[in-house]
Amino acid sequence: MTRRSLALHTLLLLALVSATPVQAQSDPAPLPASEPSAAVDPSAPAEPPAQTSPEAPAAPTPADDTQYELSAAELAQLGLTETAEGEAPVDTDLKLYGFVDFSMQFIVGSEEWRAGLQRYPSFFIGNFNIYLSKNITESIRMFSEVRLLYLPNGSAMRGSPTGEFVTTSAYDYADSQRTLRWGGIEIERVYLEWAMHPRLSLRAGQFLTPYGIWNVDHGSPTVIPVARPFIIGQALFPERQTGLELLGQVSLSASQRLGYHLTLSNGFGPVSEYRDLDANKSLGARLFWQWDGFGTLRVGVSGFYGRDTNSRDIENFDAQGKLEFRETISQQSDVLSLAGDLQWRYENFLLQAELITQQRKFTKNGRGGSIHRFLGTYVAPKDTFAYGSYALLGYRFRWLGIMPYAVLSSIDFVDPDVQTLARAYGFTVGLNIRAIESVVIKLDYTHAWWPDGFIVTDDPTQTFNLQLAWAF
Amino acid sequence: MNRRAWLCGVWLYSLTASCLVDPDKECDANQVELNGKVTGCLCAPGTIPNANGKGCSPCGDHEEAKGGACVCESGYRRPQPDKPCEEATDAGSSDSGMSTDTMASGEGMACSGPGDCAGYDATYCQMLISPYVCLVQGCAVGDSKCSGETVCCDFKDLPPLAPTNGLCIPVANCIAPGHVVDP
Repeated sequence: MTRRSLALHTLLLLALVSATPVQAQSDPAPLPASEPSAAVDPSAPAEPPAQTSPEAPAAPTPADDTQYELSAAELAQLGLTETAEGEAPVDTDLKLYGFVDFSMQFIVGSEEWRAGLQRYPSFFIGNFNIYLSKNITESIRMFSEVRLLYLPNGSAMRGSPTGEFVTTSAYDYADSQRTLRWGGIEIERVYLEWAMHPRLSLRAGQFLTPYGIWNVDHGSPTVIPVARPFIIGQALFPERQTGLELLGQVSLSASQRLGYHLTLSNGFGPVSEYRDLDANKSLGARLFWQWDGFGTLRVGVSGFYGRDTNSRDIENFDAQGKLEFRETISQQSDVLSLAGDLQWRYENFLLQAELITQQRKFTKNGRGGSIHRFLGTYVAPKDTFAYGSYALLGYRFRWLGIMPYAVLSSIDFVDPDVQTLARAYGFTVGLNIRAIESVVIKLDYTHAWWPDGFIVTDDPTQTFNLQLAWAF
Repeated sequence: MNRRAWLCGVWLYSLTASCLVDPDKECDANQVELNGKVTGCLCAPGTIPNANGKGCSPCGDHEEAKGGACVCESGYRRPQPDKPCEEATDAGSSDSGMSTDTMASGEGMACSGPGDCAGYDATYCQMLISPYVCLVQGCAVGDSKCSGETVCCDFKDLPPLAPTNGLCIPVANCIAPGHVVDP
């Protein structure tokens, strides 16, 4: 994709966005500026949407005043009191909430797969995520999500011929020097959001990339299967970005609305959370259309374009004894990611599907190769076109909140670490049981096969998963 | 069709038609595609990887690519390790500028751990790439001398091998970030 065509895409999108508010001015019922939770499971109450105005009276805009005006008694019931000047109150309390999932995974069949992934059935806490949010003013709020990890303890050292793994054992000075194992924290997102207009908000910080359905609604209690489809986990779009995000939505009619996201960020990179290793900022966009007619239908498209650079600055002294820093690029590529998604909810029936693609082209001086650890010879990565898709079908019964579901998924990509081709298809069947609010039990079985074989083995993988997920 | 729908259609079409990767040219010049369970770009026949790990360069006159290095064709040899190949004055040898001393004891012997190499001249058990063999270490700092068909390759920029202070290996195997040193 040339810079010119990229600019054209951006201009077209901006033209599209700027064209819509004209009609939206007269909408009788203004919508919140951000996309409502594109819940993977529409009945799931678990993950609070990380979006503008989570509490109805918290951040009323001028246009919303009459819509959301509450009586003093109603405000009191919500724990809010009207100010002496009669201004709309803002719930400025710090909110703390989150979710946890506890799982057991059982890989059957091929010895090679069990050795490579998990030799014996294991129990584990997969996610222990904490949300922190606060309305700072009527229109400004902060939101953050952190995941508490046992990692890096036990993480395999990739390529280690002796199978070593990271250990974080340390002697606890507060407990007679007994051994403890410390864990880490992953900052999933943290940003400040300013609702500038009912149809326009700005986020600054680190945010989940707005693409498709799954990446934003990633909380275990809201996700229907135990594991994400292959394609979602492969980061064909960056899972999260650090930068700026513009978002909002406008009403097209009583039953239709259009939402958008525009992002400018550091993009991909080994330390993209806080450092851009090249001068090219990444651009992204998402557009979705929702129709509340025959059930709720939502169709979206997403795009991302950026440069992915891995480089180091090497300190050296020049001939005059002056310290100099030499930028050494080990790999650099341009990435264009495109995706489409569809979700249809009709009563208790749910259908959703996503198609995600990524094109990666190495720059003239960015195709760094090395001795391949399997082949023992020099191999450089080639330009790739990766893609994958999934479709999920489910129906939630009223009895015990049971939802049988099935997922078909596919992926075709090259593992960037070892340059192995991964072309796979998967089929998952399972049950998602929400007998009580905020607690979900999931059971599923996945059969995946590799039509062209895989470096580990040509055998299919068969996995049983059991998960208990809850929100708090 | 109203203006909004038209714009939306144009944008969608332009996105789906966008193409960054040329499927007929997924590698650089002097490279060929490797397709299979492992994919990537290999150096084309007659070329070797550049020292910085990026791209491949053709070998010079009377040279052939072997094991990632340019070595002299049969009947040619280098007067110095970094000089072009010249016709050999003595018959029957092709080389890469090596000495022809006898090999160190234990050199090239299969090993599965450092203990297997103990007691030999080749004390380092190389276990990064199969086959695992005993190698002479310390040549870059003068602790040992390379012999036979090996050169001293310094891997000081490769953390797992940096403590070896140089390994005696065939010149063809001494590629970036390793480099031949002449202590």
